[in-house]
Amino acid sequence: MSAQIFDLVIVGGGPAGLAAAAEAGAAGATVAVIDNQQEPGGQIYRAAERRAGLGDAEADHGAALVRAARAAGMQWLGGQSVWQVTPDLKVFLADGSRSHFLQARRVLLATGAHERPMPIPGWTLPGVMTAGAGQILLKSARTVPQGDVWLAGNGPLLLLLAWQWLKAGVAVRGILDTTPRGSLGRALRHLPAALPAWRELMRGASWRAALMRAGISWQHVDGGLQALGHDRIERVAWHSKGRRHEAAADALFLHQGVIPHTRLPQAVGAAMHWDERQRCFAPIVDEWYASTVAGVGIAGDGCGIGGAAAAERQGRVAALQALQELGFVDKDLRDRRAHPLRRELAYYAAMRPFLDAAFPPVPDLLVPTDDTVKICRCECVTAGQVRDVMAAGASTTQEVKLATRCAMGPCQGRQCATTLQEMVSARSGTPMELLRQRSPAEPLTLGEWAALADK
Amino acid sequence: MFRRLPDPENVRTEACRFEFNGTPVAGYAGESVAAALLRADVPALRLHPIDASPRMPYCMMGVCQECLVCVNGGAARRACLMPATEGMKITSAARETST
Repeated sequence: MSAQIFDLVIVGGGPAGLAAAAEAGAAGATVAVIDNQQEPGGQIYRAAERRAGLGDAEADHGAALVRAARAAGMQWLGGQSVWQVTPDLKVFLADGSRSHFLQARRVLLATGAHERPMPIPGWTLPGVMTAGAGQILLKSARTVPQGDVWLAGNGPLLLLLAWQWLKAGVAVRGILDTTPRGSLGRALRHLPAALPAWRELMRGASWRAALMRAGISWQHVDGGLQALGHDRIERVAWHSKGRRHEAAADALFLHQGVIPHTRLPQAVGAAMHWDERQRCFAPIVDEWYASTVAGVGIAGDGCGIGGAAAAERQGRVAALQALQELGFVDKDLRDRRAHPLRRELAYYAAMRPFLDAAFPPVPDLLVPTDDTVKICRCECVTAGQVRDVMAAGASTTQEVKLATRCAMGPCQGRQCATTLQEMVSARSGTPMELLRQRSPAEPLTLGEWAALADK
Repeated sequence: MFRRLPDPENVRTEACRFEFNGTPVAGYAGESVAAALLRADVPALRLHPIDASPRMPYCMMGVCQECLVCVNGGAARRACLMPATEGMKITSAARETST
């Protein structure tokens, strides 16, 4: 069976992947970009080509990135899932009916981030979604929630979404802010370092000011956040300053920051590290965004949360390294092109410690205190069940997983691995331990798998 | 619980129709089956195979696997990654749900 060969195979068509494709393609490399979305843009620039030219600067920028990548000869492979990448740089993908692989000379994983799970009682009820889902619906389907709409959690995305909805004519019923009290004060010591990026910080402040002007209710939550209802969400409840509050709710959107997608880095065998500041596992990369696996780069939020602007520049730096290794550019040209990108990366990185400290995840949303919370949505495993098996002697994530089936459902732990890791670490006092993963990195039908043998 | 914003000036998005468990659903070019089903206000895309709890799309980006549905009788797939197209016959994955 002969596979198509590309100089660079990029997994993920967001800012990092598209910028890398443009950089590498323009230098003469053959480039394929694979994404499980039909359209290029990633989550941040969803449907950017369709939304361009309508007065949305973000969409216009995304569309320009797509144009540059296309003009550089990017082969776009949308609507396909990458389910395995091997150390010999074979990239296996499936399109829903069959599976095949591409042979890469270099691989760039630019798979971005997903939301940190926020397990609260009732989070599996219809009407409860992630804030990211709310934003995707707005961008790709011009679809907005109506009725009593609530946002709960913390982080820049929560603010941004409330502001974007406001501009679209949707006033949320309220924002339930879970940021631990005193976080902003604790973040202030990082503010001087963040000041060079004051323009970015002011954007966030302006969203909040616009929400205040519009009279959007802002409630501080001290715990007890839950979604209530029978067959869908009907009410939302929370505690504030020792009092319990409850209100009617038609929709609740949750958010407590984003964490890197780690399935493909783990699948190829890249070494990972625990990032205490961002409270997540991320692959180890060097200054060229090369992972510990030869020929495999990892750029963008998938190697640590840095935002879209940083992702774009990291993608270019990673592409320059691939181009140099493949002989398209020499070291001197690589270094000269990377130099301004690194300066910009330093600019965007400057505000991260401040943001990370200002919007920390909440302890009781990392380790749910309520035993009834289903931490594993797929296998319906509760926090109480996990505590029971730990009380009975299970002391590692692997043991808890095998005893409860937590993280063994179709989402493959994407919605519960962080909670499981936090619970085990908190109980046993051991360092955070990454959940073991097995191939395939994405769900695959037997039919798709069997089709590999065809031809 | 969800509505579609009108198209911007000078833009006209093509409409399509498909079926979910036998009931007609209105969709638009470029959006996912999951988005259209959220607007259609169906009570659930599926009932969970373990506890029969109703489930609807949660992440909309292919991560959570909550929106599994079958298209034209095929294997379960994520509705959030599936473009809405004319004439699709979508059914709940695993247990049947009623609309």
